[in-house]
Amino acid sequence: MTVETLQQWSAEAVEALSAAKAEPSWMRERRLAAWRCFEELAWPSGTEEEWRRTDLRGLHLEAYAPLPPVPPARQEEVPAVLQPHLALPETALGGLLLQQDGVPLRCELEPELRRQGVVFCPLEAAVQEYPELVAPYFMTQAVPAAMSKFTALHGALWQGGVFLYVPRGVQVALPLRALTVHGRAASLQQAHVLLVADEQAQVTFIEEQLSCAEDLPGLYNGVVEIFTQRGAQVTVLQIQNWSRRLWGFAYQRALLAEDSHLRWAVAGLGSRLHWTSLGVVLRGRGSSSRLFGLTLTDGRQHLDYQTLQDHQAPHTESDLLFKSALLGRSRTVFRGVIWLRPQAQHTNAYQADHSLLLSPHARADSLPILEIEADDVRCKHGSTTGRIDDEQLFYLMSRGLSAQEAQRMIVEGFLETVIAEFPVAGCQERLRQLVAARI
Amino acid sequence: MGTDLVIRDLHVSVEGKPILRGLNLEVKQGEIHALMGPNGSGKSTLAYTLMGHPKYHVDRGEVLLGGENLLAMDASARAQKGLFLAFQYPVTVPGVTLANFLRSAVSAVRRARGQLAVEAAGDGASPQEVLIPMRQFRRELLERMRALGIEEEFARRYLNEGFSGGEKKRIEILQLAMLEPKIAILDETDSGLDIDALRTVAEGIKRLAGPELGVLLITHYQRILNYITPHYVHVLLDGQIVESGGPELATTLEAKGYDWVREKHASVA
Ligand SMILES: Nc1ncnc2c1ncn2[C@@H]1O[C@H](COP(=O)(O)OP(=O)(O)O)[C@@H](O)[C@H]1O
Ligand SMILES: [Mg+2]
Repeated sequence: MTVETLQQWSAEAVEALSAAKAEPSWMRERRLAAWRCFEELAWPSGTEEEWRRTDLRGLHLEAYAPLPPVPPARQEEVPAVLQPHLALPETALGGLLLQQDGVPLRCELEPELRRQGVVFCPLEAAVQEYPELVAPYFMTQAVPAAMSKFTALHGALWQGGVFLYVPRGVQVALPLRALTVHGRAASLQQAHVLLVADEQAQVTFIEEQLSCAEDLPGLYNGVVEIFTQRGAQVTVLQIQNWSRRLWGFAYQRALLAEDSHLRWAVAGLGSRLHWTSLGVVLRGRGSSSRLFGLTLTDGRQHLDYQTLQDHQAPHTESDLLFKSALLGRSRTVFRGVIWLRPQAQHTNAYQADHSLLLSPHARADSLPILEIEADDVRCKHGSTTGRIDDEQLFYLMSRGLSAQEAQRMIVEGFLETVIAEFPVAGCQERLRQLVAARI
Repeated sequence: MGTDLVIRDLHVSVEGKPILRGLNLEVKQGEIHALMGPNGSGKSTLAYTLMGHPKYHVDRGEVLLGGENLLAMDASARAQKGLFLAFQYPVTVPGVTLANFLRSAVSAVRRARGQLAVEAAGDGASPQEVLIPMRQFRRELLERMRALGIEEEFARRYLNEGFSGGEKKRIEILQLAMLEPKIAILDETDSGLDIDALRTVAEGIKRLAGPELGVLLITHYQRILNYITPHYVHVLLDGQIVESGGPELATTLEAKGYDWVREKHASVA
């Protein structure tokens, strides 16, 4: 990684951005505090456990410019390239939020949900209109700016993103969907997603990330923060399908309060290189989470997932299943930490990851890490890396499928078992199409 | 001319170890042949070799299907020509539903046989991708599932995943029914079944048998032959057919056991 003095990155730039957005002072202060962290922290050297397997030497930060400041309440036409993405096949939505390069292009929410107090809007708008809902959560507990050099940069210069708030007891039946679009070449994208589900609330949130062109260069440095309050039931589905010339970094954390449940499924398909830290923190007694991940990579793609199942309370349960299919010279890293803290008695934690190598040059690394500090627990992990099974291939071919058709079917089936865990028909269909187009 | 299966002087080895040692057999369309033999005599080796499993190496001999050299084809070409194997141990394929898989397989086989209008691909789909129309497929599938007493939900389940032994065998016969082969090899389709499952499976096979289908019924036991009367019975011992006869041979075997054959042909081993 080349790090030079970046003109666009400075305390003045932070001030200017905050001023252009006419932000309240608390947000301006947070940005500046994050900037101070950024100045103090160092970039990963490559020797840290989390960074050992992702080489940042090809990343030239100076090649990416922050997005121009977007003044509040700007709304533009939806470009033609995005029209096909507006709807999900066979899926009715409760809301849609479309943003390109931090600019909101569509903000829709069912009036009935609005009446019930649901907030689903660009984060910038929420900072202005609902500071009492945003301030307690924004980069304070789940992903503090001081977590890393990346999060500090994000905290200082974030732009665009989603705020979703579901009030106590409100059950949102239809999924709410956000499309985050990278359209400007060589830009630094720093969207922030903040989701708060209040007590006993229920909601399904979908985020799809895409670029306007397959070969659009870009840098993404995102943060996702999820809060599930007591008894809330939340589903979060994410499809990362950035351009093949984008470098991505994401810190994503969910904090689960008592008896709340989170299902979190992610798909990684795009990017040149993408490093994701994805964690659930089970803070409340009786909370539970299910994490699912699938990736399909080819060419020289490199996807790195650092997952965390952090059990901080008794009677908690977490389960994780990741599957990766690799073509070409692509590489994936899965490093999964399960941490059962001393107070996390009567907990269950499971983790499984499976890689299917479809080329002799592809490589998948898997590192389960179990930190078990409580004694009355059940903890299991399993990991496999293999190639297409000859017996499966022969079985399918013996029914008349060509070798190619049979292989395709086996790979699609391998990923399908995770696709089936995205509980929205339109998402499943979208994923099947994206996968089919790639094998 | 029928699509007969002709095996001449077949020698096969697995991982360098000779298993079949000069096997001769002809199965004509419309005929039912039972191939019996003790465990390890090479029955499954013959089945896999005929279907084209890459692990089984043909050292000598020839196999023809309808006069064509079967050994030059891969498994999918053999299936398209009309050969079918019901596996002794059907394979699990996670994430692939039975319906999806069968629709692709039936389409592939019918395309190859010219039974599927390829012009239907006018709208951009390449000819290899033409599938049998969904409604027609569903109708055919459900009809045959019903006939075999298979619950409709199996169509949406992943191929053989979590199926009981009996369910797997029934699904093999369902695939046989859908693919309409000329010659079917059934490798111990009767083993591991309770008496009710055995009857259902046997009746399913019996319904499919007819002048269009030749059957090579591989079995370790005589009991399935109580339901299906073969035209010929062969005994395989140490990779060679040592006895051939009519249905009465199966009865003799049942009474005297394989030791009787073994003693009689002690010289072979
Ligand atoms: N895939 C294989 N790998 C190694 N040995 C095999 C394999 N298949 C069969 N054999 C060997 O070939 C012999 C015949 O086996 P098989 O054809 O399965 O007999 P049967 O079906 O009559 O019980 C046995 O000695 C078995 O160990
Ligand atoms: Mg056998």
